[in-house]
Amino acid sequence: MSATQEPIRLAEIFRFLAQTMRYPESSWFTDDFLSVFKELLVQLGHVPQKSLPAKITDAILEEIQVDYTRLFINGVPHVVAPPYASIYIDGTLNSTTADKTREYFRSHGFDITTNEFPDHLVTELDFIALLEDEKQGSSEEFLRLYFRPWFAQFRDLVLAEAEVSYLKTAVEVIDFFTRIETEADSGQAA
Amino acid sequence: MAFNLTRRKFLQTATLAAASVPLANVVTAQAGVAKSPFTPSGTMADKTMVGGICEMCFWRCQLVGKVRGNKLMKLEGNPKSIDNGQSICARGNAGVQLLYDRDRLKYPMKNVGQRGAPKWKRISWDEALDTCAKKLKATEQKFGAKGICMFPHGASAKYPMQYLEHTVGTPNVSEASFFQCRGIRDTAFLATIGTPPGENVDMANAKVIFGLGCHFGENVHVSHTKRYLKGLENGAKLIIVDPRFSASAAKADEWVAVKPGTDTALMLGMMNYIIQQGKHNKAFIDKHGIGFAEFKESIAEWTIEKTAQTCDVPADQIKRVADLLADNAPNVSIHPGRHVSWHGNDFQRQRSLGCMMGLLGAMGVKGSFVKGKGPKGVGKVGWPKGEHHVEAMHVAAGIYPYSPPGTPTDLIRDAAITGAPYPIKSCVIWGQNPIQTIPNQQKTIDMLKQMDFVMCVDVMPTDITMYADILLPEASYLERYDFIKTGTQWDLSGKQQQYISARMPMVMADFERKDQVYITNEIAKRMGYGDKIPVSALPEMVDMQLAGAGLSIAKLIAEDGIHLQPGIDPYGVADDLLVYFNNAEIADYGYPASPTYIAVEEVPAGHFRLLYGRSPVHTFNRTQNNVWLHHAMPENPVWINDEMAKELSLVNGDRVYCVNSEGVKSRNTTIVKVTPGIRKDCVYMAHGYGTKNPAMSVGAGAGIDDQALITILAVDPETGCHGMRNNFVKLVKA
Repeated sequence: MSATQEPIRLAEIFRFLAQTMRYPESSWFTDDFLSVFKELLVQLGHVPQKSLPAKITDAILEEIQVDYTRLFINGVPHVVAPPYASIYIDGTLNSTTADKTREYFRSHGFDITTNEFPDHLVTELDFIALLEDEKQGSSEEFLRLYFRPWFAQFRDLVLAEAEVSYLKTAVEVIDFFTRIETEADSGQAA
Repeated sequence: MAFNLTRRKFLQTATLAAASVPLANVVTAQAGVAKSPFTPSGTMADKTMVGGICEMCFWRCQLVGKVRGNKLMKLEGNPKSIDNGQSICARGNAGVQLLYDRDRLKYPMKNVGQRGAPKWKRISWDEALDTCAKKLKATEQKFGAKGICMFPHGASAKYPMQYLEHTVGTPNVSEASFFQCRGIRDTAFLATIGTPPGENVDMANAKVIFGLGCHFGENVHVSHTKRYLKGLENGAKLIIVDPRFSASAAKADEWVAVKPGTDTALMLGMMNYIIQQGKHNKAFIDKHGIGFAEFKESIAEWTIEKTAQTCDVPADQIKRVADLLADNAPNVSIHPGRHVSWHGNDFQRQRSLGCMMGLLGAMGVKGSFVKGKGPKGVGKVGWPKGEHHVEAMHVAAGIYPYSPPGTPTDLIRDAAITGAPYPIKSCVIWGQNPIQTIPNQQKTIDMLKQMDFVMCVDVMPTDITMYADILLPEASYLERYDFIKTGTQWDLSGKQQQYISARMPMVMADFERKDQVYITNEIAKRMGYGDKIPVSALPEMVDMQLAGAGLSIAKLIAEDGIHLQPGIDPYGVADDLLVYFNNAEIADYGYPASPTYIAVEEVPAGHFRLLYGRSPVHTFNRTQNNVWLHHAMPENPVWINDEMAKELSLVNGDRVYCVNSEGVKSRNTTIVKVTPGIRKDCVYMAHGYGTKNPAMSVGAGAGIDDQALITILAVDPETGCHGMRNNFVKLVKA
């Protein structure tokens, strides 16, 4: 069995999902990355939409960068979907929710390492990946208490406002992997 | 898109065999979270950071910050401060909100759309700096250094301004704080009493406080306000000259509702009356006055009757006010004002204020014009001057002899638009929002549109940033070292002390925000000026400056952010002080040697003169997006006289547009404030509202942008500074 034929670990998936929501740059947003992304969609039972690019060109990369900037960083008329829990829970940036999130990281033996706020989507996905690295399923509490309460609003904004399919699709894949599955869901699937 | 399986099922069955590479190979970024020592909940310690210096306005109060992790929770006045003390104003408190404003600039961005209709793309610092340097260098090589212009504002703009002025060598730098604010005051007082006055009047110990257009309480600068309130508490009489019943007028013993634009006439009339009554300070004038006889003769025409008629002020009141000043002299605070760019005749008015100080001998004694004696020794660090010196346009043309430092704004705009006397093709905007600071916005836009390159450095996406090609996010005043603040205790008659403090960061900068030294140095290196760089980083600069006073950042931190030392009694009049009542040098330049009233255009029928001022909870446009401050005053009501409102069928709370006499209509509406507390010939609103850039999601469209209505340009002939109260509006019900 080759490396790519091994079962996928959930931690790897989350690490990959975090990558999908980083600012796209030519150093990593490549044809190989896109190939993995599309294959993931296939494995999810979904034929990748034609609107996803066949190859990454400079023009396509810039189109995604512009949309990413408008949606998540600084946009006109304004940032559409700030990727921070605080915005959706408290209405402001770096608020109590950010504090509580960081406190949760620290109480589980982790801490932030960058200038990003702890409640940024990518930071939270990174953290979830680390929890899953330690023990599969150990991210459920964080997902339930910290991630899902804001993510659905964020997802809806991106789905409604994003102009490039890649970002919409990425958010939908994140939605799938972070949903709280009930016993009934699991039972049906089994 | 629905995925018809569960996560568990997916994990049981999925492989990514068909992908070109393994999943892990395409994940390249370092995680934003890592293993760290286990920390139980609730143990994140709070710290008090010292050394904060506010910059929500220019007054720069001393702060401490309560910090948890790298998050600023609260700002307070530094308890050790002998300037603002533990007090900070609403804006100072709201600095926390600026720090975490969701609309703040976070990363360098490139405009891939149009100037004015930007489409932003995040770029790396390397790409941003390479682009800035390449474009500025191209302009320098093609048009010379003078082909670059700069509009700076604030403490962080000083370092890059010096780079462009001194080392690159462009004279085309125009600061709003000079050319649309206080520059006229400074040069007029230099030509009258030999020093720029600041706001150095000893109000706390005055018998009379005299303010011309000063609306203390609406302009809140903490130690200044403390002096004012202490004076009132001590029983000082207050005289406020203002067409509007301002917060200060409401406390005044005399509210002089002067006709806008005639203030100089009022000053001349009062001074003539004081002289006629023999109440001027003859001994002081004999010792320090220059040209008093010519001055006296020059203002003799300003009888009380003529003054009353010109200024539309009762003759009795003019006498009362003049007597009040003279009878309490010399312990009288004649306030020099600050934002004095009013009517294009402002140099003369500011001269008249200086002459009134001299006439009353209200200098150097308690309660008068007194400059505190601050500490010496703080050093300077700056960019070296290059070999090529280019004369500023006004110097070359022999105009505006009393211009403040830099180049008068309209000379730059006109040159850029017309190409004469030479083209200006690159524009650096640093911390200033020229859309809201410079009158005639269209002209500013026309200037920017013809540029080969426009770069902006700011903390917020202000209106001007819509016209940038490259937009750089700056660390705020809470995230960087820089400004050295020195001074004395706020009450000049108190225990004599001096202080030295330096701005220190309360928290580290988030995202990819950078400070002015980093940005400027990196551009300088790329433009070939790397060998001229004076310091490698901001802390180094601050330490070098402090070393001159035997201090360092470390020492200041050990002293809770503020170094105190014994002070010097500030009172006394220097023997060599000269007061130029009549200044022959001014006449040599072709302007009146003695203060002279120059009439302004009358209000056209059916219009009101548009007046503007400060709000206590905003610093003009800079704070408009701050959600705390926005809640305190979300829009700028337009004040209108009650009788005029009745004629127009307007009642309190009606929404109106403003349309100026050139047909420019305000983009937004605001509410009407109907009051007897304003003259019939003018309307008033707080300046800085009505942000245009929708990227400022709180401030955009809130209130009326008065600057958009200031399209008729008035330029002060002696200084080249703008006058911005010569525009006329109608109110139109929305």
